[in-house]
Amino acid sequence: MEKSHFSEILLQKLHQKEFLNENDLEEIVIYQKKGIFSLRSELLLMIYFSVILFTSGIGVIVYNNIDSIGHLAILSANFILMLVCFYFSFKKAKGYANDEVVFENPLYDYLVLTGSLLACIFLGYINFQYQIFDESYAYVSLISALLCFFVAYYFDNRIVLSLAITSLAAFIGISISPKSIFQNEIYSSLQLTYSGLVLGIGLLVWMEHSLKTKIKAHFHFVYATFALHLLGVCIMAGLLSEHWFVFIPILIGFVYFFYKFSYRVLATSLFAFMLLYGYFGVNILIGKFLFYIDFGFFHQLVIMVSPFYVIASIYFFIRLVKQFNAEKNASVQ
Amino acid sequence: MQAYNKSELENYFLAEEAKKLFQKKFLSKAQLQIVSAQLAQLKSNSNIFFRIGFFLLGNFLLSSVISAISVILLQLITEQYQIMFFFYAIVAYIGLEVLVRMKFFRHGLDDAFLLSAQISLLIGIGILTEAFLPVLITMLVLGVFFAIRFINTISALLAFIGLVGIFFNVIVEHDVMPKFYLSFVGLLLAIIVYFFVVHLSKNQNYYPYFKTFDTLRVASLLLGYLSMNYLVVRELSESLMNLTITNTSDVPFAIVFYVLTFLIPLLYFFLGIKWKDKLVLYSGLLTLAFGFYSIRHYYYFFPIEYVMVISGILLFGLAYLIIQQLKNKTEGVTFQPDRDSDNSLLLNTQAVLSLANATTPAPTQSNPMEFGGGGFSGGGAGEQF
Repeated sequence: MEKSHFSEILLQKLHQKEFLNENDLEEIVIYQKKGIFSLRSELLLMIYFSVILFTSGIGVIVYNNIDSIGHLAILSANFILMLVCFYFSFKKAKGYANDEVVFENPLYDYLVLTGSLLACIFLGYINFQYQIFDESYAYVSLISALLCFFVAYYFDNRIVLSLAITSLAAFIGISISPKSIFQNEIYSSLQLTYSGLVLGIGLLVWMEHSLKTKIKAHFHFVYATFALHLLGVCIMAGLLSEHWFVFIPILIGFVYFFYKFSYRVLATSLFAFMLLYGYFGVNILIGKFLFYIDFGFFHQLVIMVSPFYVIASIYFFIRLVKQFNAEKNASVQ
Repeated sequence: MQAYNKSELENYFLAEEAKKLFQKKFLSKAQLQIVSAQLAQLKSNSNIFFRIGFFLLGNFLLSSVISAISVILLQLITEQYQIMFFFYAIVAYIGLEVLVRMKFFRHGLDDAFLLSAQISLLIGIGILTEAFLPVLITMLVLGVFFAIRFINTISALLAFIGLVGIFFNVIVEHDVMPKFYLSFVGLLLAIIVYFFVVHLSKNQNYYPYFKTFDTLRVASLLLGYLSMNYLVVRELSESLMNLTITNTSDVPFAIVFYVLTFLIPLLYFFLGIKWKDKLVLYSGLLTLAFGFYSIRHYYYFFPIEYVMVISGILLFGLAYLIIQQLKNKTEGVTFQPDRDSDNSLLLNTQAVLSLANATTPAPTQSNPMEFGGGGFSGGGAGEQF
């Protein structure tokens, strides 16, 4: 009952239609015979979750024991563990390079992650306990962000990079994670919207710079994903606010940039979400427009016309997606 | 019975297989381009984002069409509102057939019409008969019909739910047999469906349905586990049989359920590895996690944070041991990357996942939480890819 990788009948049919020659078929048969069942991604994900579980648990323990006698013990245990993580990571690291550098053993990536998470916990904790920066967490976030950026670039670690970006966002006062976006926490005030815009654009500028100078160019996807969602949500919030007209040119610029960019790197997820935010934005504007003009039979007219509007937009999207897919398929990888 | 032209369907699946071959590097990009250029294609979206996007657009379209028609029609029918849902179902079905004529297949748009047609009809029947059983029977029949005719996996899943629901309903409300047998019936049903589907998938000519079969297999694995899970059994027997469980009494055959709560996931694990079937393996992981949850639901050993730390360490240890075991194997079960493995994709996924996990406190909050630990309900994470 072993599961094979390819369907026998489809392979035969492809062969009949002369898309596959004898050599290809033979190669496939040899491969299938090996019965390769790679658990690499699964095991690495397991490690990832174990790290997240462990550090989250430590975080909660530290938080709960803040006023108890054992806090110094916990603090030092945390610190020592962090040092151990970084000691081994530095020992095994190949040193910094602008290109992609990988550990020979992928487990070290997770050691680096553990170290960084513990370091963030440590920083937050000593700030709370000894009030180095008053009550404010902004500076702790900034320091965590700087530390994580250093670690991410030195060890070439994308997971730590995303931690760094979230910390940076926390520094300017917004909690951005998909969770908070869905809970509508992100735009509590217009000022935050503007700072979100600034951060998003800053990330994009840095991404463009690093793509040009080839400083860890493969980080671009993390930056782009982050900036896309941050900017998208901020623009939506802006369009719903009083100063919505300010955001129209920003929306246009946003759509234009990510349209071009997703063609450049051929990233489907960026393209899809660009379309989503763009369409939302346009619909918000249409809604505002309809709200301003109002005449008799108006609502019925809108309802009668709306199917055509939706059909038109579906047609438009199908064409866009088709073009994008054609471009993606034509690219020689 | 199938709504699609046979050779077009075949071409679609051949192109899909060619894509798979390309991912595993048996075909060059040039060869793949030849394949997709020569095979006339059905309009479909293999990318999940596009498919979901078009699914939403399809729903907009359907609801705007329906509301446009309703504006006129609602003035005519004011009394018989029950008809409305049947009317929706008919509109959706006509739309679906039109889309199929236009060669939409697994595109998103067709999915929207397909699901709306089924769900509106179910609601209509529910309103008309005011009983569960007819709805469930329709669910089963319709689901099978749509799954076969339109090669749709979600319909098959609906049919499966309908089937399970029928048994559940018959036993609970119509007292065909003692309610206590419910969980055994569930297990039996799961086993029957599983092996029936496995039997079907042995026939290579059913290749268009292979995805559907896989989904049904996972569904029946989960059903089999849930009907034997201690938490489910206990909660159901408390609410259906009015059992009160104290410190001294427990559900009948409690020990069986305790043992199976952990034995079945381990069995899935073992079989998943033996059959080299990732779906069975993932079911094992999922059910094992639920097993631990169910025990913790009733027995309080440690506070949650200690559980997290300890389970993190254990999980790490387990994964590490397995990796050490598999490190040097190049055939069979292995830690080596497969031909199609994409390291960059995995790293990006985790990077985005950790965005979802990170509960970074805003400075305005006075919550001295850690940065980036926090709750780990990464539910929203999937949206990113």
